[in-house]
Amino acid sequence: MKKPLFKTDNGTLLLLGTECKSCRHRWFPALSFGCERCGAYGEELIDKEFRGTGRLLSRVEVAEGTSNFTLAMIRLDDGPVLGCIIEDPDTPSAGDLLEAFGTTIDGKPGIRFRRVDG
Amino acid sequence: MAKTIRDMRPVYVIGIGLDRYQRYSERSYIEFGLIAIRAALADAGIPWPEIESFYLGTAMMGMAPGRAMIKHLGATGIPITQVENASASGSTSFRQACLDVASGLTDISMAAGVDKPALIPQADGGSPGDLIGKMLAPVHHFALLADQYREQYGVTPEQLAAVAVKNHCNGSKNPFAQRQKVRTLEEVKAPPYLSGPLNRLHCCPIGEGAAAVIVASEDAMERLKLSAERSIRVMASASRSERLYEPGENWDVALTRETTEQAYREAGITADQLDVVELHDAFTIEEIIYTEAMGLSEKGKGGRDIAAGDFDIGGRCALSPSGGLLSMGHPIGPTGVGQIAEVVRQLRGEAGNRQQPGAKTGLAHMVGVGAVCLVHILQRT
Repeated sequence: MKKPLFKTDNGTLLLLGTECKSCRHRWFPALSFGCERCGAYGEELIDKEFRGTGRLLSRVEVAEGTSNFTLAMIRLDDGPVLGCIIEDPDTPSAGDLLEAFGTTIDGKPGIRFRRVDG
Repeated sequence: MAKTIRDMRPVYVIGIGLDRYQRYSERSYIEFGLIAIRAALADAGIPWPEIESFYLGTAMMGMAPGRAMIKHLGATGIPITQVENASASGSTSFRQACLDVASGLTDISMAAGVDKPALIPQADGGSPGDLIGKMLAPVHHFALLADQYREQYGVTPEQLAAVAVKNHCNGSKNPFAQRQKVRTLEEVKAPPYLSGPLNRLHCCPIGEGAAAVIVASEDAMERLKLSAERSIRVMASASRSERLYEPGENWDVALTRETTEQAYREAGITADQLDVVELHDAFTIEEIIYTEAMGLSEKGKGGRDIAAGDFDIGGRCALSPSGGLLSMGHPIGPTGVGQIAEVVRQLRGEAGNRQQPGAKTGLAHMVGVGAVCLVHILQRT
Protein backbone atom coordinates (compact mmCIF):
# COMPACT_ATOMS: atom_id res chain seq x y z
CA MET A 1 0.00 0.00 0.00
CA LYS A 2 1.34 3.42 -0.88
CA LYS A 3 2.04 5.63 2.10
CA PRO A 4 0.86 9.26 2.26
CA LEU A 5 3.32 11.96 1.32
CA PHE A 6 2.70 14.27 4.28
CA LYS A 7 0.73 14.89 7.41
CA THR A 8 -0.14 17.82 9.62
CA ASP A 9 0.72 17.67 13.32
CA ASN A 10 -0.64 20.48 15.49
CA GLY A 11 -0.59 22.79 12.51
CA THR A 12 2.96 21.79 11.51
CA LEU A 13 3.31 20.21 8.11
CA LEU A 14 5.61 17.16 8.03
CA LEU A 15 6.85 15.24 4.98
CA LEU A 16 6.76 11.47 5.39
CA GLY A 17 9.83 9.50 4.37
CA THR A 18 12.08 6.67 5.46
CA GLU A 19 15.38 6.29 7.29
CA CYS A 20 17.77 3.35 7.22
CA LYS A 21 18.85 2.37 10.74
CA SER A 22 21.95 0.68 9.33
CA CYS A 23 23.55 3.61 7.56
CA ARG A 24 21.28 6.55 8.44
CA HIS A 25 20.50 7.28 4.78
CA ARG A 26 17.17 9.14 4.50
CA TRP A 27 14.79 9.53 1.60
CA PHE A 28 11.45 10.93 0.50
CA PRO A 29 8.86 9.68 -0.29
CA ALA A 30 8.48 6.71 2.06
CA LEU A 31 9.56 3.48 0.37
CA SER A 32 10.42 0.27 2.17
CA PHE A 33 11.92 -1.88 -0.62
CA GLY A 34 15.49 -1.41 0.58
CA CYS A 35 18.17 1.19 1.28
CA GLU A 36 19.78 2.50 -1.87
CA ARG A 37 23.02 3.18 -0.02
CA CYS A 38 23.60 -0.07 1.88
CA GLY A 39 20.87 -2.49 0.76
CA ALA A 40 19.40 -3.00 4.25
CA TYR A 41 15.71 -3.78 4.27
CA GLY A 42 12.87 -5.03 6.43
CA GLU A 43 13.06 -3.91 10.05
CA GLU A 44 16.18 -1.86 9.34
CA LEU A 45 14.00 0.71 7.58
CA ILE A 46 11.87 3.02 9.73
CA ASP A 47 9.27 5.67 8.99
CA LYS A 48 10.64 9.15 9.36
CA GLU A 49 8.99 12.57 9.49
CA PHE A 50 10.89 15.43 7.92
CA ARG A 51 10.36 19.10 8.63
CA GLY A 52 9.04 20.95 5.61
CA THR A 53 11.87 23.45 5.42
CA GLY A 54 14.95 23.42 3.22
CA ARG A 55 17.27 25.31 0.87
CA LEU A 56 16.57 25.87 -2.82
CA LEU A 57 19.09 24.10 -5.06
CA SER A 58 17.74 24.95 -8.49
CA ARG A 59 14.55 26.11 -10.18
CA VAL A 60 13.03 26.35 -13.63
CA GLU A 61 9.97 28.08 -15.10
CA VAL A 62 7.70 25.64 -16.91
CA ALA A 63 4.96 26.43 -19.41
CA GLU A 64 2.69 23.43 -20.07
CA GLY A 65 -0.33 24.19 -22.16
CA THR A 66 -2.19 26.93 -20.37
CA SER A 67 -0.48 26.43 -16.99
CA ASN A 68 2.78 27.99 -15.88
CA PHE A 69 4.62 26.95 -12.76
CA THR A 70 8.00 26.97 -11.06
CA LEU A 71 9.61 23.58 -10.60
CA ALA A 72 12.43 23.35 -8.07
CA MET A 73 14.84 20.97 -6.37
CA ILE A 74 15.34 21.57 -2.68
CA ARG A 75 17.41 19.94 0.04
CA LEU A 76 15.34 19.55 3.18
CA ASP A 77 16.97 20.61 6.43
CA ASP A 78 16.52 16.99 7.52
CA GLY A 79 18.47 15.62 4.54
CA PRO A 80 16.53 14.35 1.53
CA VAL A 81 16.59 16.18 -1.79
CA LEU A 82 13.24 16.36 -3.54
CA GLY A 83 11.40 18.07 -6.36
CA CYS A 84 8.60 20.48 -5.60
CA ILE A 85 6.52 23.30 -7.03
CA ILE A 86 7.05 26.78 -5.72
CA GLU A 87 4.21 29.25 -5.26
CA ASP A 88 5.71 32.58 -4.37
CA PRO A 89 5.10 36.05 -5.80
CA ASP A 90 8.83 36.74 -5.60
CA THR A 91 11.03 34.23 -7.38
CA PRO A 92 13.38 32.57 -4.88
CA SER A 93 17.06 32.14 -5.62
CA ALA A 94 19.40 29.25 -5.00
CA GLY A 95 20.24 29.08 -1.34
CA ASP A 96 16.99 30.69 -0.17
CA LEU A 97 15.18 29.03 2.70
CA LEU A 98 11.81 27.58 1.66
CA GLU A 99 8.93 26.13 3.66
CA ALA A 100 6.14 23.75 2.74
CA PHE A 101 2.54 24.85 3.10
CA GLY A 102 -0.72 22.99 2.63
CA THR A 103 -3.08 23.89 -0.14
CA THR A 104 -5.72 22.34 -2.36
CA ILE A 105 -4.58 20.94 -5.70
CA ASP A 106 -7.19 19.60 -8.15
CA GLY A 107 -9.64 19.36 -5.28
CA LYS A 108 -7.32 17.35 -3.01
CA PRO A 109 -4.95 18.34 -0.17
CA GLY A 110 -1.47 18.98 -1.50
CA ILE A 111 1.80 20.78 -0.80
CA ARG A 112 3.57 23.72 -2.34
CA PHE A 113 6.70 25.55 -1.19
CA ARG A 114 7.32 29.28 -0.62
CA ARG A 115 10.24 31.35 0.52
CA VAL A 116 10.67 32.02 4.21
CA ASP A 117 11.52 35.63 4.86
CA GLY A 118 14.34 36.35 7.19
CA MET B 1 36.45 -18.98 -35.77
CA ALA B 2 33.32 -18.33 -33.70
CA LYS B 3 33.26 -19.79 -30.21
CA THR B 4 30.58 -21.53 -28.19
CA ILE B 5 30.02 -20.91 -24.53
CA ARG B 6 31.81 -24.16 -23.78
CA ASP B 7 34.93 -22.94 -25.61
CA MET B 8 35.23 -20.08 -23.14
CA ARG B 9 35.58 -20.02 -19.35
CA PRO B 10 33.30 -22.49 -17.55
CA VAL B 11 30.13 -20.90 -16.21
CA TYR B 12 28.19 -22.25 -13.24
CA VAL B 13 24.78 -21.43 -11.81
CA ILE B 14 25.42 -20.84 -8.12
CA GLY B 15 22.12 -19.36 -6.93
CA ILE B 16 18.42 -19.47 -7.81
CA GLY B 17 15.39 -17.63 -6.47
CA LEU B 18 11.73 -17.09 -7.32
CA ASP B 19 8.59 -15.39 -6.15
CA ARG B 20 5.49 -17.44 -6.84
CA TYR B 21 3.87 -16.74 -10.20
CA GLN B 22 0.32 -15.51 -9.68
CA ARG B 23 -2.60 -13.67 -11.23
CA TYR B 24 -2.39 -9.91 -11.61
CA SER B 25 -2.27 -8.18 -8.23
CA GLU B 26 -1.71 -4.71 -6.84
CA ARG B 27 1.82 -5.66 -5.74
CA SER B 28 4.63 -3.62 -7.24
CA TYR B 29 7.00 -5.49 -9.55
CA ILE B 30 9.79 -4.09 -7.37
CA GLU B 31 8.44 -5.99 -4.38
CA PHE B 32 8.32 -9.41 -5.97
CA GLY B 33 11.41 -8.81 -8.09
CA LEU B 34 13.44 -8.14 -4.94
CA ILE B 35 12.02 -11.25 -3.27
CA ALA B 36 13.34 -13.40 -6.11
CA ILE B 37 16.71 -11.63 -6.22
CA ARG B 38 17.25 -11.82 -2.47
CA ALA B 39 16.32 -15.49 -2.53
CA ALA B 40 18.93 -16.13 -5.23
CA LEU B 41 21.60 -14.27 -3.23
CA ALA B 42 20.73 -16.25 -0.12
CA ASP B 43 20.80 -19.50 -2.10
CA ALA B 44 24.25 -18.65 -3.41
CA GLY B 45 25.40 -17.37 -0.01
CA ILE B 46 26.78 -14.14 -1.43
CA PRO B 47 25.90 -10.48 -0.86
CA TRP B 48 24.58 -8.16 -3.56
CA PRO B 49 27.84 -6.16 -3.96
CA GLU B 50 29.47 -9.32 -5.44
CA ILE B 51 27.18 -9.08 -8.51
CA GLU B 52 29.11 -7.40 -11.33
CA SER B 53 26.46 -7.14 -14.04
CA PHE B 54 22.69 -7.47 -14.13
CA TYR B 55 20.38 -8.49 -16.96
CA LEU B 56 16.62 -8.12 -16.57
CA GLY B 57 14.29 -10.05 -18.86
CA THR B 58 10.99 -8.19 -19.20
CA ALA B 59 8.51 -7.80 -22.02
CA MET B 60 5.73 -5.80 -20.36
CA MET B 61 7.31 -3.36 -17.92
CA GLY B 62 8.17 -0.57 -20.35
CA MET B 63 11.28 1.56 -20.25
CA ALA B 64 13.96 1.24 -17.53
CA PRO B 65 12.43 -0.91 -14.80
CA GLY B 66 15.77 -2.45 -13.84
CA ARG B 67 17.56 0.19 -11.82
CA ALA B 68 14.35 1.33 -10.16
CA MET B 69 14.25 -2.17 -8.71
CA ILE B 70 17.83 -3.12 -7.94
CA LYS B 71 18.84 0.21 -6.40
CA HIS B 72 17.01 -1.00 -3.30
CA LEU B 73 19.73 -3.64 -2.87
CA GLY B 74 22.30 -0.88 -2.58
CA ALA B 75 23.22 1.14 -5.68
CA THR B 76 26.62 -0.32 -6.61
CA GLY B 77 26.87 1.19 -10.09
CA ILE B 78 27.03 -2.11 -12.02
CA PRO B 79 25.95 -2.31 -15.65
CA ILE B 80 22.20 -2.95 -15.99
CA THR B 81 20.59 -4.13 -19.20
CA GLN B 82 16.93 -4.73 -19.89
CA VAL B 83 16.35 -7.59 -22.33
CA GLU B 84 13.18 -7.91 -24.38
CA ASN B 85 12.85 -10.95 -26.62
CA ALA B 86 9.13 -11.65 -26.27
CA SER B 87 8.50 -14.88 -24.32
CA ALA B 88 12.22 -15.63 -24.48
CA SER B 89 13.20 -12.45 -22.63
CA GLY B 90 14.26 -14.28 -19.48
CA SER B 91 16.17 -16.96 -21.39
CA THR B 92 17.98 -14.27 -23.30
CA SER B 93 18.89 -12.39 -20.13
CA PHE B 94 20.32 -15.67 -18.80
CA ARG B 95 22.35 -16.12 -21.97
CA GLN B 96 23.77 -12.61 -21.66
CA ALA B 97 24.75 -13.14 -18.04
CA CYS B 98 26.46 -16.40 -19.00
CA LEU B 99 28.35 -14.68 -21.82
CA ASP B 100 29.63 -12.00 -19.43
CA VAL B 101 31.16 -14.64 -17.19
CA ALA B 102 32.29 -16.96 -19.97
CA SER B 103 34.10 -14.14 -21.76
CA GLY B 104 35.80 -12.93 -18.63
CA LEU B 105 34.03 -9.57 -18.53
CA THR B 106 32.74 -10.47 -15.09
CA ASP B 107 33.19 -13.20 -12.50
CA ILE B 108 29.64 -13.10 -11.18
CA SER B 109 26.52 -11.93 -13.00
CA MET B 110 22.81 -12.10 -12.39
CA ALA B 111 19.94 -12.78 -14.77
CA ALA B 112 16.48 -11.95 -13.54
CA GLY B 113 13.02 -11.78 -15.01
CA VAL B 114 10.05 -9.76 -13.87
CA ASP B 115 6.73 -8.88 -15.45
CA LYS B 116 3.16 -7.81 -14.75
CA PRO B 117 0.39 -8.36 -17.28
CA ALA B 118 -0.21 -5.45 -19.61
CA LEU B 119 -1.64 -4.91 -23.03
CA ILE B 120 1.52 -4.24 -24.99
CA PRO B 121 1.06 -5.03 -28.66
CA GLN B 122 3.75 -6.47 -30.86
CA ALA B 123 5.73 -3.90 -32.79
CA ASP B 124 3.95 -2.66 -35.91
CA GLY B 125 6.31 -3.12 -38.83
CA GLY B 126 4.11 -1.14 -41.23
CA SER B 127 3.02 -4.19 -43.19
CA PRO B 128 -0.47 -4.04 -44.69
CA GLY B 129 -0.97 -7.43 -42.99
CA ASP B 130 -2.95 -10.28 -44.43
CA LEU B 131 -6.55 -11.43 -44.35
CA ILE B 132 -6.48 -12.70 -40.78
CA GLY B 133 -3.31 -11.19 -39.33
CA LYS B 134 -4.65 -9.53 -36.20
CA MET B 135 -7.11 -12.39 -35.57
CA LEU B 136 -4.37 -15.01 -35.32
CA ALA B 137 -3.86 -14.88 -31.57
CA PRO B 138 -1.46 -17.54 -30.25
CA VAL B 139 -4.29 -19.80 -29.06
CA HIS B 140 -5.69 -19.95 -32.58
CA HIS B 141 -2.26 -20.50 -34.11
CA PHE B 142 -1.71 -23.53 -31.91
CA ALA B 143 -5.26 -24.81 -32.28
CA LEU B 144 -4.63 -24.81 -36.03
CA LEU B 145 -1.38 -26.63 -35.42
CA ALA B 146 -3.16 -29.21 -33.27
CA ASP B 147 -5.63 -29.76 -36.07
CA GLN B 148 -2.84 -30.17 -38.61
CA TYR B 149 -1.02 -32.57 -36.32
CA ARG B 150 -4.22 -34.57 -35.81
CA GLU B 151 -4.68 -34.84 -39.56
CA GLN B 152 -1.09 -35.93 -40.07
CA TYR B 153 -0.50 -38.26 -37.15
CA GLY B 154 -3.90 -38.99 -35.63
CA VAL B 155 -3.27 -37.60 -32.13
CA THR B 156 -6.32 -38.19 -29.94
CA PRO B 157 -8.01 -35.63 -27.66
CA GLU B 158 -6.93 -37.86 -24.75
CA GLN B 159 -3.27 -37.69 -25.78
CA LEU B 160 -3.45 -33.92 -26.11
CA ALA B 161 -5.14 -33.66 -22.74
CA ALA B 162 -2.57 -35.98 -21.16
CA VAL B 163 0.01 -33.18 -21.51
CA ALA B 164 -2.12 -30.90 -19.38
CA VAL B 165 -2.93 -33.61 -16.85
CA LYS B 166 0.78 -34.38 -16.38
CA ASN B 167 1.83 -30.75 -16.11
CA HIS B 168 -0.95 -29.71 -13.78
CA CYS B 169 -0.06 -32.68 -11.58
CA ASN B 170 3.59 -31.55 -11.50
CA GLY B 171 2.55 -27.96 -10.81
CA SER B 172 0.44 -29.06 -7.87
CA LYS B 173 3.71 -30.03 -6.16
CA ASN B 174 5.44 -26.74 -6.95
CA PRO B 175 5.05 -23.94 -4.38
CA PHE B 176 6.10 -21.40 -7.02
CA ALA B 177 3.47 -22.45 -9.58
CA GLN B 178 0.57 -20.16 -10.40
CA ARG B 179 -1.78 -23.13 -10.80
CA GLN B 180 -1.35 -25.75 -8.09
CA LYS B 181 -4.38 -27.95 -8.71
CA VAL B 182 -4.42 -31.53 -9.95
CA ARG B 183 -6.68 -31.84 -13.01
CA THR B 184 -8.44 -34.92 -14.35
CA LEU B 185 -8.63 -35.95 -17.97
CA GLU B 186 -12.34 -35.07 -17.95
CA GLU B 187 -11.67 -31.56 -16.69
CA VAL B 188 -8.99 -30.99 -19.33
CA LYS B 189 -11.27 -32.20 -22.13
CA ALA B 190 -14.39 -30.32 -21.01
CA PRO B 191 -15.92 -27.22 -22.69
CA PRO B 192 -15.96 -24.28 -23.00
CA TYR B 193 -13.28 -24.24 -25.66
CA LEU B 194 -11.17 -21.24 -26.53
CA SER B 195 -10.20 -22.49 -29.97
CA GLY B 196 -10.71 -25.88 -31.57
CA PRO B 197 -10.27 -28.53 -28.86
CA LEU B 198 -8.29 -26.24 -26.56
CA ASN B 199 -10.01 -25.19 -23.35
CA ARG B 200 -8.30 -22.93 -20.82
CA LEU B 201 -6.47 -25.82 -19.16
CA HIS B 202 -4.72 -26.48 -22.49
CA CYS B 203 -3.35 -22.93 -22.33
CA CYS B 204 -0.92 -21.20 -20.03
CA PRO B 205 -2.38 -18.61 -17.65
CA ILE B 206 -1.69 -14.90 -17.76
CA GLY B 207 0.09 -13.70 -14.66
CA GLU B 208 2.95 -11.90 -12.96
CA GLY B 209 6.06 -13.04 -11.14
CA ALA B 210 9.80 -12.91 -10.74
CA ALA B 211 12.80 -15.22 -10.97
CA ALA B 212 16.54 -14.74 -10.60
CA VAL B 213 19.66 -16.83 -11.13
CA ILE B 214 23.32 -16.09 -10.45
CA VAL B 215 26.15 -17.37 -12.63
CA ALA B 216 29.81 -17.40 -11.69
CA SER B 217 33.28 -18.37 -12.84
CA GLU B 218 35.48 -20.96 -11.18
CA ASP B 219 37.69 -18.10 -9.96
CA ALA B 220 34.74 -16.55 -8.13
CA MET B 221 33.66 -19.88 -6.70
CA GLU B 222 37.15 -20.46 -5.36
CA ARG B 223 37.50 -16.95 -3.96
CA LEU B 224 34.14 -17.12 -2.24
CA LYS B 225 34.55 -20.78 -1.23
CA LEU B 226 31.26 -21.75 -2.84
CA SER B 227 30.02 -25.31 -2.87
CA ALA B 228 30.97 -27.08 -6.07
CA GLU B 229 28.31 -29.71 -5.39
CA ARG B 230 25.47 -27.20 -5.63
CA SER B 231 26.96 -25.40 -8.65
CA ILE B 232 25.62 -26.51 -12.01
CA ARG B 233 27.60 -25.96 -15.21
CA VAL B 234 26.10 -24.27 -18.26
CA MET B 235 27.17 -26.52 -21.14
CA ALA B 236 25.40 -24.83 -24.03
CA SER B 237 23.58 -21.65 -24.93
CA ALA B 238 22.01 -21.71 -28.38
CA SER B 239 19.99 -18.83 -29.76
CA ARG B 240 18.35 -18.76 -33.19
CA SER B 241 15.57 -17.02 -35.07
CA GLU B 242 13.06 -18.23 -37.62
CA ARG B 243 14.25 -18.45 -41.21
CA LEU B 244 12.68 -19.72 -44.42
CA TYR B 245 12.39 -23.48 -44.08
CA GLU B 246 11.71 -26.18 -46.64
CA PRO B 247 8.18 -26.18 -48.10
CA GLY B 248 5.83 -28.19 -45.93
CA GLU B 249 8.09 -28.03 -42.87
CA ASN B 250 6.36 -26.53 -39.84
CA TRP B 251 8.37 -23.53 -38.70
CA ASP B 252 7.59 -24.01 -35.01
CA VAL B 253 9.13 -27.47 -35.22
CA ALA B 254 12.03 -26.49 -37.47
CA LEU B 255 13.14 -23.58 -35.31
CA THR B 256 13.20 -25.72 -32.16
CA ARG B 257 14.91 -28.57 -33.99
CA GLU B 258 17.71 -26.39 -35.32
CA THR B 259 18.28 -24.61 -32.03
CA THR B 260 18.26 -27.82 -30.02
CA GLU B 261 20.61 -29.55 -32.43
CA GLN B 262 23.02 -26.65 -32.05
CA ALA B 263 22.78 -26.91 -28.28
CA TYR B 264 23.43 -30.65 -28.38
CA ARG B 265 26.55 -30.07 -30.48
CA GLU B 266 27.80 -27.39 -28.12
CA ALA B 267 27.22 -29.54 -25.07
CA GLY B 268 28.53 -32.69 -26.71
CA ILE B 269 25.42 -34.73 -25.82
CA THR B 270 22.54 -36.48 -27.53
CA ALA B 271 18.82 -36.32 -26.73
CA ASP B 272 18.81 -39.64 -24.92
CA GLN B 273 21.18 -38.21 -22.30
CA LEU B 274 18.63 -35.66 -21.11
CA ASP B 275 17.10 -36.31 -17.70
CA VAL B 276 14.90 -33.23 -17.36
CA VAL B 277 13.49 -30.78 -19.86
CA GLU B 278 11.63 -27.54 -19.28
CA LEU B 279 10.14 -26.43 -22.57
CA HIS B 280 7.74 -23.84 -23.98
CA ASP B 281 4.44 -25.60 -23.32
CA ALA B 282 2.23 -22.50 -23.50
CA PHE B 283 -0.28 -24.78 -25.28
CA THR B 284 -0.53 -28.55 -24.95
CA ILE B 285 0.25 -29.27 -28.61
CA GLU B 286 3.57 -27.50 -28.16
CA GLU B 287 4.89 -30.06 -25.72
CA ILE B 288 4.10 -32.80 -28.24
CA ILE B 289 5.73 -31.15 -31.24
CA TYR B 290 8.79 -29.91 -29.37
CA THR B 291 9.36 -33.33 -27.81
CA GLU B 292 9.62 -34.67 -31.31
CA ALA B 293 11.65 -31.71 -32.60
CA MET B 294 14.19 -32.28 -29.81
CA GLY B 295 14.55 -35.94 -30.77
CA LEU B 296 12.98 -37.23 -27.56
CA SER B 297 10.21 -38.97 -29.48
CA GLU B 298 9.87 -40.11 -33.08
CA LYS B 299 7.88 -37.91 -35.39
CA GLY B 300 4.18 -38.42 -34.79
CA LYS B 301 4.76 -40.37 -31.58
CA GLY B 302 5.13 -37.57 -29.05
CA GLY B 303 1.49 -37.64 -27.98
CA ARG B 304 1.55 -41.39 -27.58
CA ASP B 305 4.76 -41.34 -25.54
CA ILE B 306 3.56 -38.58 -23.23
CA ALA B 307 0.24 -40.30 -22.63
CA ALA B 308 2.10 -43.55 -21.91
CA GLY B 309 4.02 -41.90 -19.07
CA ASP B 310 7.46 -41.85 -20.72
CA PHE B 311 7.93 -38.25 -19.69
CA ASP B 312 6.38 -38.30 -16.24
CA ILE B 313 8.65 -37.60 -13.27
CA GLY B 314 10.32 -40.97 -12.89
CA GLY B 315 10.08 -41.72 -16.61
CA ARG B 316 12.98 -41.84 -19.05
CA CYS B 317 13.08 -38.02 -19.08
CA ALA B 318 10.92 -35.72 -17.00
CA LEU B 319 9.22 -33.07 -19.17
CA SER B 320 8.02 -29.93 -17.42
CA PRO B 321 8.64 -31.18 -13.86
CA SER B 322 7.91 -27.65 -12.62
CA GLY B 323 4.45 -27.84 -14.13
CA GLY B 324 5.65 -26.03 -17.24
CA LEU B 325 4.08 -22.91 -18.64
CA LEU B 326 0.69 -24.61 -18.47
CA SER B 327 0.73 -24.92 -14.70
CA MET B 328 3.72 -23.09 -13.26
CA GLY B 329 2.74 -20.20 -15.48
CA HIS B 330 4.08 -17.82 -18.05
CA PRO B 331 4.46 -14.30 -16.72
CA ILE B 332 6.82 -13.81 -19.71
CA GLY B 333 9.94 -12.02 -18.42
CA PRO B 334 10.57 -14.47 -15.57
CA THR B 335 9.61 -17.65 -17.41
CA GLY B 336 12.92 -18.56 -18.99
CA VAL B 337 14.81 -17.72 -15.81
CA GLY B 338 12.38 -19.81 -13.79
CA GLN B 339 13.04 -22.74 -16.13
CA ILE B 340 16.76 -22.49 -15.39
CA ALA B 341 15.96 -22.42 -11.67
CA GLU B 342 13.89 -25.61 -11.99
CA VAL B 343 16.55 -27.43 -14.02
CA VAL B 344 19.19 -26.42 -11.48
CA ARG B 345 16.98 -27.58 -8.62
CA GLN B 346 16.53 -30.93 -10.34
CA LEU B 347 20.23 -31.39 -11.08
CA ARG B 348 21.11 -30.53 -7.48
CA GLY B 349 18.67 -33.20 -6.30
CA GLU B 350 16.69 -30.59 -4.36
CA ALA B 351 13.31 -30.86 -6.08
CA GLY B 352 11.60 -32.81 -3.29
CA ASN B 353 8.48 -34.62 -4.48
CA ARG B 354 9.05 -33.32 -8.01
CA GLN B 355 12.55 -34.85 -8.18
CA GLN B 356 13.55 -36.76 -11.31
CA PRO B 357 15.74 -39.53 -9.87
CA GLY B 358 19.43 -39.29 -10.71
CA ALA B 359 19.04 -36.15 -12.83
CA LYS B 360 22.39 -35.08 -14.21
CA THR B 361 21.67 -33.29 -17.50
CA GLY B 362 18.87 -30.82 -18.14
CA LEU B 363 17.61 -28.63 -20.95
CA ALA B 364 15.64 -25.40 -20.89
CA HIS B 365 13.82 -24.31 -24.06
CA MET B 366 11.89 -21.15 -24.81
CA VAL B 367 10.48 -19.64 -27.97
CA GLY B 368 9.41 -16.05 -28.47
CA VAL B 369 6.97 -14.55 -30.90
CA GLY B 370 8.68 -13.26 -34.01
CA ALA B 371 10.06 -15.97 -33.81
CA VAL B 372 13.12 -16.72 -31.75
CA CYS B 373 14.27 -19.78 -29.84
CA LEU B 374 16.77 -20.29 -27.03
CA VAL B 375 18.01 -23.58 -25.67
CA HIS B 376 20.32 -24.00 -22.68
CA ILE B 377 21.82 -27.26 -21.52
CA LEU B 378 23.07 -27.62 -17.96
CA GLN B 379 24.90 -30.45 -16.32
CA ARG B 380 25.95 -31.54 -12.87
CA THR B 381 29.70 -32.08 -13.27
